[in-house]
Amino acid sequence: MRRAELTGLVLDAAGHMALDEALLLGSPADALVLRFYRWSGPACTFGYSQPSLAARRACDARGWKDVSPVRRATGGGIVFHDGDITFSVVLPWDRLCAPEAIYQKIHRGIRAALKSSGVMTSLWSTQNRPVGLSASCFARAEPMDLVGEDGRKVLGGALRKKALKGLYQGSLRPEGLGSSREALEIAVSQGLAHELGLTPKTELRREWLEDGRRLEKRYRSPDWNERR
Amino acid sequence: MKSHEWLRLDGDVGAVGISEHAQKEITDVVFVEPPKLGRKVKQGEPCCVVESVKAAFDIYAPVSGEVVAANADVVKDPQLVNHEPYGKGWLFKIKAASPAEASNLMNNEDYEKFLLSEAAHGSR
Repeated sequence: MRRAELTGLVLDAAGHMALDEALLLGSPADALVLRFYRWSGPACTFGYSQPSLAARRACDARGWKDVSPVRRATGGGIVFHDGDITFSVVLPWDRLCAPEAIYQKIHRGIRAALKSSGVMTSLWSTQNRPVGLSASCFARAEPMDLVGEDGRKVLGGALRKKALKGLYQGSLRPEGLGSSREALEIAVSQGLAHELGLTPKTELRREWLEDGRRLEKRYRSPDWNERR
Repeated sequence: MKSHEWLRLDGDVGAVGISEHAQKEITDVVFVEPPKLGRKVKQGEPCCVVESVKAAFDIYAPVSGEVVAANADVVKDPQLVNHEPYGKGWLFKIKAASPAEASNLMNNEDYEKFLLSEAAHGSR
């Protein structure tokens, strides 16, 4: 079977969302699949339950008139992909548990790996979590997000649980971390491997790519993106 | 696949929701997307989505049949799922194609054992 690296695929938002769903549906239940996105241009994604109009307005406010926001299969808020390190993880999630436990595990691993490379962050926590979610992912930290030494949110994620697997989509802001994108991507990979006890698969099976292409149509459709 | 939905049959129509344990684990429900009326579903098919803290969860049809009702109250007030998971927090109703299919499901005792086995297995 021909194999290619999952990392390095240059896609737009619909393409990345579709490929992530293909990985979630098609990867083995006990596998950890990690890939880093490569973007074909500025992009915006928004959470499964968010109104599309909010994402449209947020893009317009940034002057992103030509960017079509794409709805994710995961929850969470609006994310602008303009220089962030975007990555996804498909992981075993065979026992129902609080989403915060998954965020804690993933972010704790990444935090430790970042620390080893000299980048200091911390897991954000509060005893008084604000009710509801912020419309924009990086507008405020949620519990278990990673924040920098200045308190600025640097890593947030969103989840989807499907059968015995989970899809995590993460966005890491590299600004001010004092590390190269490559070094940060290595830290993410090492942190996940260590914390989850699995070596991430980063090779693409041809059928995943084909399934992703097939699913793209839905992620480009108004029926999906403007459902709310 | 064992999961955390409940089914309460009244004749051949069953209300579907998620268990007390499930709502506690999922935590604060902020969004419910029930299936469309008239949709035909098969037992075990994902047909509804519940979102909590930045996480969306598939909800599965406990039996095969046709969706005949969706709870508009939980769409307006998703926290009903947390506050009254066995009451006003029901999600949708299915007209079962074969009510006997419900015999595949766990009863209360089996579900308690399932929860114990999940707890023993630990989180992953």
